[in-house]
Amino acid sequence: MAEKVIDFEVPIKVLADEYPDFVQIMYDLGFTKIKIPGMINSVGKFINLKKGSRAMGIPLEKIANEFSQRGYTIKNYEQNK
Amino acid sequence: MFDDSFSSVDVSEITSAERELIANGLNPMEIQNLCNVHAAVFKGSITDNQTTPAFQKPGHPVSTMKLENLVITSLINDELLPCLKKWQQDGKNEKYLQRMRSALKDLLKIDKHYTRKENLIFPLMDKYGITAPPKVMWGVDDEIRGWIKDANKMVNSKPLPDKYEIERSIEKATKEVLEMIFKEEEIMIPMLDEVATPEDWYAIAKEEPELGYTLISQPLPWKPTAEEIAEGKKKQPSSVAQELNQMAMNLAKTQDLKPKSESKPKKKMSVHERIAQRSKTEPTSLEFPSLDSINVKFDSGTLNLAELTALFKVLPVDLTLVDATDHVKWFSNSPDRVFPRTKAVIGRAVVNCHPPKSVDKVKKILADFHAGTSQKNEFWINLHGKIFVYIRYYALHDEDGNYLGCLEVTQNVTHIRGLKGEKKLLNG
Repeated sequence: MAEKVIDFEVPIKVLADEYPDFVQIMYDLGFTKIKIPGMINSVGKFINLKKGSRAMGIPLEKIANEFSQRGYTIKNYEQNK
Repeated sequence: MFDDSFSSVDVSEITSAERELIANGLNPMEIQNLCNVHAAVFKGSITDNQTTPAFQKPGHPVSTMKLENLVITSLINDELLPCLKKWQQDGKNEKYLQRMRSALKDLLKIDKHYTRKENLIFPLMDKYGITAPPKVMWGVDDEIRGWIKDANKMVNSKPLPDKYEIERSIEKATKEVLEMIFKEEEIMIPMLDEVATPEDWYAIAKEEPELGYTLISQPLPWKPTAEEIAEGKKKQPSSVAQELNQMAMNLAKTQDLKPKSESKPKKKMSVHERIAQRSKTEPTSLEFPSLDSINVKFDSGTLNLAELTALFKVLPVDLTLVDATDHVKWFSNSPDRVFPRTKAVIGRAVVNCHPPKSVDKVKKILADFHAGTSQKNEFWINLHGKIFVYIRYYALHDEDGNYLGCLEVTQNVTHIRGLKGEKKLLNG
């Protein structure tokens, strides 16, 4: 199986298209607006996890931990932004 | 010559901004910050007008938005939060509490910033098929308004609530305000940059003064240069814009934007009734008395275009017409409307023009009108405790009973409610 990679600098839409469980994980992390129809197809193209973390006030570390635990490799993530 | 006129405006602009800020209660220490911003903004436009990106030019809606955000950020980080901290450490110091009060009072003015965004920028996003994000953002704007009001109430109540409650409340409000600034600048503006043309921004810039500003004075008027307009044409349509437009069109298809009453007219009259009706009233028609004039011939008389225009200006009610597909079609632009409307609202889906908390009510009224189960509805509110506003909604139908749309009639009835006794023409 190919390696699953969460790149913190890639648009969220790309990740959502690639990984079927991405949206639910994000929702559970507190990105509750992600499931509203039309959000991923608009905002999702302009926002990556680094921006999303700041916009929603959800720490990068929390996001990275959750995806690591789910078997993802974390890329372009530095804690000291 | 250009430089001369600009540099003189620059100075007066800054000084009037300073005066206003001080009058509004902003700590003079913040003014320095603002001056630097102003200076930076103006420097760009004076020394290098041709190559300054339009977004950075004074008066461009994006520049105005960012300038306000800078002042708001400074108000929070350089005044409100430091004062909160110092007051926390020494709870008896009235001076810091007083400064927190005045900073929160200034922060309440963020309402203008959000109102401009909701009434001018959101319609632009709508136009390019970006419909979900503005709805979400409007909901958050309203929450933030509420949190600031809560915090403001707390620091002004007697006896003063618990210190930690005040701290929590202020920290919540300010955190959300700063996050919203990030969303506006890092997400919303880049999205708009993909799709909006210089003409779009110009249309917004022209309407901004009417809605007002947050903690800054009215910026210089901005107009796109010929080069910018040409450049905008080149970039259009970008791939993202095309995609978003496609999305909007698909959405329109699935929502079936045909007038709903066309498919199932609820109030249709029988042929007999219709003929009886027709014999009584003549259908409205157009008359062309000369090559350059048009009259609208109603059953009860004829009006020319000048008369029609003048009539809507003086009618003592504000009218807004929403068509059969629930999109805003027209409003009467009388000079002193109770609720100002901007031209950007025309063509918008009516559900997108209301704060999320009142959307359900609006939907219900329209659904009842479409279904024919109700023909009118009314509300009355006491605006700021001063103006009594009476708002009525009517379902419009054509002569055959087909649904045409909804007419909103808003009226300031304060004067009417106060009338006593009689005043007759005859009494002289």
